[in-house]
Amino acid sequence: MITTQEEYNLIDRIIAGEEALYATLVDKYKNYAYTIALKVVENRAEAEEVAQDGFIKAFHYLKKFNREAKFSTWLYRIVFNTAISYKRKNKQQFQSIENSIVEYAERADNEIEKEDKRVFINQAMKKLSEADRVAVQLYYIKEYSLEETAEILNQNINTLKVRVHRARQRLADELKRILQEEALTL
Amino acid sequence: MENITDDQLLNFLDDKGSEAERDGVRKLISTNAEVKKRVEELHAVHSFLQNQNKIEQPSKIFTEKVMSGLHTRQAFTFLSPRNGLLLLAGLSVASGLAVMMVSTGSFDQWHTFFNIGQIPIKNNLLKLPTSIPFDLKLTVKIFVLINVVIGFVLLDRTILRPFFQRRAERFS
Repeated sequence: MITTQEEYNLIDRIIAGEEALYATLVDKYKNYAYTIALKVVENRAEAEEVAQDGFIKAFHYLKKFNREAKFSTWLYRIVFNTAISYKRKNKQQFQSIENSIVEYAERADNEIEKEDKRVFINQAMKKLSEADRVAVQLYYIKEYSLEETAEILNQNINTLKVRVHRARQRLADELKRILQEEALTL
Repeated sequence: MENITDDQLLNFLDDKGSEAERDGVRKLISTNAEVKKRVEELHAVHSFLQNQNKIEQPSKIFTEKVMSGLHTRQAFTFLSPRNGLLLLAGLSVASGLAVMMVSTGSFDQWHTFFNIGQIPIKNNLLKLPTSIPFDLKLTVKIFVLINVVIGFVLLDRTILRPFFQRRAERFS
């Protein structure tokens, strides 16, 4: 575990030319960075590529890191923005994949027990907006405080709180609707 | 549900609020069937999200891939292959039109001289020409040549290189 000051010293040495030391930072932050990318792009291979691109971008912008925020927050914001622009660039492709997942889930519904709410919530998650979905998922990971999560997502803390509450409300409403539909078809 | 909002119930599930508030919610849940049902719905979502969200782990070669890519993945990241292809198509159309117009002699009459001898500038160091010839046909040819060079660079950086890079990564 390295302290913030040690981390700054490490960054200074990387900027000075000791590039191999960047691997220490990558190792330390790769898991959460990958998790953020995965929550946005929803595909493991692509999330890996996106997270790697985020780290590479951060390396090239390292001189611009002004140390006002924590390095981790700054890095994760780069990864998050990289994932968002990647998803926008590949929107059409994602939509078709997403549709196929929903279709699969619908088929799976008939095979599993009707009361399995997990499948229904999973389906409902697909209907949330990207911003709401990522906000609620990162909120539940609880790795970082609400303030830091808001900073990573480049949002106001109150906006994030509203998003998280609204997303859960929508999921509950959607679950209720699906369960009612299921009850009618019985 | 007149007495309680979803926000209050969600705060209750998040373990937020004072003990008195939480007791009030508990009491309401035990006495009001509608509130109880809503809490169950919200709780199903709450526990689903709690179970789903864990820190994921990338592949074991993640760090090596980042380190090996530090100096290779920089060029033209602002242009996606699709945008590169569109830009390339635009350049090809513009160059094609220019070549067509040159070959049909559209610019043959477009040549003139810019007289700079009349401009009152004191210059004892250099002997400047009194006029500069301007030929639009030559300018268009230079434009086409520049377009061809840009086209090749675009083709390489935004389409071919990313394509082969991804293919190599897939097979490695």
